[in-house]
Amino acid sequence: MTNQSSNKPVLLTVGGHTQKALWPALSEHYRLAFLESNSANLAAEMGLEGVMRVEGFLDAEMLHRGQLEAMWMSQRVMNALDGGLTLDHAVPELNSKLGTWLPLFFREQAEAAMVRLTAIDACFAKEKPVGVLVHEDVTPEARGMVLYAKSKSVPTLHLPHANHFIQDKGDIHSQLTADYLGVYGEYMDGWYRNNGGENITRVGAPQWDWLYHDIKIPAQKVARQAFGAPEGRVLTYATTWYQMTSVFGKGAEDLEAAWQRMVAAAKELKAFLIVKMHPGEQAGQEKHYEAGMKEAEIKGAILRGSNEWALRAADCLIVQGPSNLGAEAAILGVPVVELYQYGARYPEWGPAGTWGEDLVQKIADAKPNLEFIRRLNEYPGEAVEHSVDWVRGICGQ
Amino acid sequence: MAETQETQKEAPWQAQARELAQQWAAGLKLEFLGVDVVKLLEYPMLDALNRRYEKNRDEPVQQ
Repeated sequence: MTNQSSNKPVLLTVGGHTQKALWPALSEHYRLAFLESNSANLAAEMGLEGVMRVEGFLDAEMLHRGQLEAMWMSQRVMNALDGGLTLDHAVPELNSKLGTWLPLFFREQAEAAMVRLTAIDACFAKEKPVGVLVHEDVTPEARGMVLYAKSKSVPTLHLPHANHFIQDKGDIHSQLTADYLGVYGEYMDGWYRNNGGENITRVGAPQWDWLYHDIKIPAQKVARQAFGAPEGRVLTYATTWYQMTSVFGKGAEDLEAAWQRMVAAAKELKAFLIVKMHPGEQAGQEKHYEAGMKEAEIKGAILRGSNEWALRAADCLIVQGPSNLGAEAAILGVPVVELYQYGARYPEWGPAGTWGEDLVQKIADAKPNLEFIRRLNEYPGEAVEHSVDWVRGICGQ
Repeated sequence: MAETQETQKEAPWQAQARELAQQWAAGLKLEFLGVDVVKLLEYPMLDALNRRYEKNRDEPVQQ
């Protein structure tokens, strides 16, 4: 997989499908080292030269070191609990049981993180990366890369994988860890600045570039045929999931209530319903949607990927909460309706929204919203070029 | 729509979990290869603590 003869510098990246569009252009200037092995494999299959896997720098001794470190840290957590570390006096039942789950939970999390850090450490020692590029900086995977690189004074760049429409400033996603932020456009720029962001550059959304090339998108007739949709109205419903790091309202209960509203509206409109599941939803959730549609005698389809097919087939996209799929719909000229969720909301110039009582009317009234996508994406169809320029401006080459 | 539903309210246990995470960070200093491990593991810690708080709303924490 590696090409040791290349004299290009190494750029360390997590990987991830939203940055896939960047890899060919980046690899003209850098050898890419991926934390995610699947992304490394995909990049190699794309024919990119010099692709490396960070785990490829790991040996048995490093693995052992990471495991040992996690074990000792877990011991320190146990000692702290024995010494009276309590976490919230308001819930004594929780505190009284911390010792039964926290040390081992910590050990499992820490072990994976320590092993990754040793691999990153070895990669840095051998390849001396000129920068680190991530698509988020909250999970242990991406945050670990960023924190390590910062300790070595290597520039860290964050090009988010999605717009955040979260309204709570205390949410973990509003924390800024990387040195530089590349943002899609006006909206994302403002969101991060409101959360204290600096060193922000507008680069567009690279993963949306291809949507501006109509020849790459199936015609509506073809898309509907692929789903087996009969003549008549076709609705696509974008589901969501809830992350327990930031939960509002009643979590899963709210999502189920919204799904029931969607089912009722589709039935009333006699629509063919395409359920486009969120990639983060748990396996098996398909069965739940399928059962709901069967019970309501609604014809339709359920899928996780192929966004452009699900959007092109639709007369209207209904999003469960302010999904970035709404931006993709806007690019394709598909009207969008937001079914509200607690804690996050499209801006006022975004798609119309409802808690659900008038969903049928909102669907009937929905129109394409060019203003929405204009304010979300600064460089329609040209984000890859601007993003790579941004990386090169910081990391060189 | 009722004003109560329009009002974006944080679940009480969510606020507790955040406070908990802050106390957790303040109570321990763990570092490896120059990385603050408490900050590194903030996301899974928040997730785990929230899940236990959510259960704790209606019933004792189950293991």
